[in-house]
Amino acid sequence: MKNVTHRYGVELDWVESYAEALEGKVEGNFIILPDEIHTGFRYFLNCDYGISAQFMDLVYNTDICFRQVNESDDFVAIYYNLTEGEAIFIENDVQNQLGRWNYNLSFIDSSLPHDYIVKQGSKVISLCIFIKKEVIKEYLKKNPSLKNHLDSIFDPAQNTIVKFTRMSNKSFHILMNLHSKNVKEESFSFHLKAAVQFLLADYIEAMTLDQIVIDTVNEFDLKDIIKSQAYLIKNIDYVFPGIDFLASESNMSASKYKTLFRKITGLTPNAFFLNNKLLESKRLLVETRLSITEVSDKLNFTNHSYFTVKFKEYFGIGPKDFIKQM
Amino acid sequence: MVEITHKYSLTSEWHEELTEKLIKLGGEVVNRNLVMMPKKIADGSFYYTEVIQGLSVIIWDLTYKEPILVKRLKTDDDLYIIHYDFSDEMNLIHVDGVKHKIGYKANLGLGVFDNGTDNVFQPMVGERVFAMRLLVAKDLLKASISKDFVKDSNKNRLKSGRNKLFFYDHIDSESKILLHVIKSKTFLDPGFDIYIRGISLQLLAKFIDRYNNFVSLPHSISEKELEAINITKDYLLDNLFQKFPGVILLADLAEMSISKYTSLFKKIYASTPSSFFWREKMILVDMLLKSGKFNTLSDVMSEFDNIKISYLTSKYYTQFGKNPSENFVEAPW
Repeated sequence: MKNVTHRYGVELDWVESYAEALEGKVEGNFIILPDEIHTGFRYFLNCDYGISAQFMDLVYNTDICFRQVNESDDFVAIYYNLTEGEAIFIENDVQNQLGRWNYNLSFIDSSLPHDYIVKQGSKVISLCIFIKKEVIKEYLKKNPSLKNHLDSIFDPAQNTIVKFTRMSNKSFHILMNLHSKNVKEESFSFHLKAAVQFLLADYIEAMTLDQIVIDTVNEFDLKDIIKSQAYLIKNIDYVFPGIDFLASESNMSASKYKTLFRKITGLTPNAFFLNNKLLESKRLLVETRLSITEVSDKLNFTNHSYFTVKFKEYFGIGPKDFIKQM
Repeated sequence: MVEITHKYSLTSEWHEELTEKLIKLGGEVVNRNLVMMPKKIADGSFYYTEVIQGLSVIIWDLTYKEPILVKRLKTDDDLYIIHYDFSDEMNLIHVDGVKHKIGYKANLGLGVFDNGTDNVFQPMVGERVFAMRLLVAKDLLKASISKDFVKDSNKNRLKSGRNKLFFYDHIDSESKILLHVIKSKTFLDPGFDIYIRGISLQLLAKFIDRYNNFVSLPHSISEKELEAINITKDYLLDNLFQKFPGVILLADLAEMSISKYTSLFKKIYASTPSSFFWREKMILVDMLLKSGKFNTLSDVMSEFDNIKISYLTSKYYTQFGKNPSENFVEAPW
């Protein structure tokens, strides 16, 4: 396994040394690493006062261990991590599996040295947001109602922030939307800045609505529900399989399944399924040349008018208007 | 009629100035970003924030109580104003003395203006006015609104030349979805400030993508066809007081066969030329009814050529679910 020690930071002075440590180079906003390590891209950007970001879309061609030791402890890194493959976070001998179907959102204090191991063949779509602690505090001053929630992600013993959780379905689609943009276009920097704002806003909204309750769920139940989510996404083209079926797949009673699903995703299984179907239908309309009828058929909507009604409900405009004025 | 004048600048100075003016008229400052309009002028408020260097946003959600002209005076700050109108009804923007309808229903919800020219915004009275403006430093858009674009858009969008950019267009679907989401939020939501920054950046990105690449509409309508259809649409909008000119004349204008013309028009506006014309006509009727400039209902109706009042009334009823008399505002003199 390849080993490399590096640092991150809100100020982008880490970029050069990062590229150097991995025998790569910096070109514009890209860090280009040798193909032996990974193919794909890493894009970094200074977003706002006290906030910067790195967006990655790549495939690892080797096993690698990143040891992160930062020089400053004045920021928090927020990782939206949609790795498909194996990715492990190790801090103080405690391991956490990260990735799309594991913990896919984590908050890590910059003062904590840790290892991050990715296995060869892992496909990574990931956005790291580096944000100064003073920016977070400033924000809390303006919104005192959020103070208690922030305390819940602070570890008071060490006065550090560490949290592993799952991103909302909305956040997931914010990332997917960003992923669909062309990184070479000059507008990409705005798309990325926008995504960063949306993700932060979405998290704050979830905090105020008390939707973040993952911590109170036991680990096995959490795994089962995540598996069930994965099943629904994989079968997004088909009709909703029904609560009874899903519950039995997860070895739970229907009522336990429903309660847990809602607790973890903030949505009922049915709403989760339908929302994703609709987002998929929009993606198909944008990215393919399928007609509305074809999309509705492909995704097995009961009938076209039902599709039209739900689309309009969710996006505010009907599919016909949508494609007309794309 | 009430008149408010203001200017725009890249930094928040203009906002402070306008806020002071509004306070004198009875407005209220809720916080640094949010100002309630004077109660006698309008119900509602507007929100302003700086997003990044060179980009700020204003969003307003108001119902005006009396006719008003919002005059924007030109300044030397090098910026473009991108106006998104998502109001329930159509509003008017006057540029160089010419009135342009802007709004979601007109299919023309997007307007782009140069800060180097004046314009006047004339919102509907008694209807929810929901609009958003991005103030964008020209540097940020330099590459996007290139000379080619201005030249190109001259043909179908640019309405007044002399290098002072001004054009309008429909709002693209993705942006519409964003506006729809923001319309359902309140200015006091805890994440609103961050959220509106996200929206502004995304709209700007979308704007750049759209006018940088000038990709033609999906589902296969060429720019040229779109342009031809637009000419006929403008013709219809310019002749709302007249009789419907007939598809033969319109197809002729677009230099197409009748069947091609009607099917293309339908594809773009999701209605036939005639129902489009009637819908717009009724919106105009509605505007005149509520304008408070006519003594009687038949005065309003007689503005329209060659048409039976009963027919007009029934059309109006189908569209708005009310008789014209119910919405009529008599002139105060």
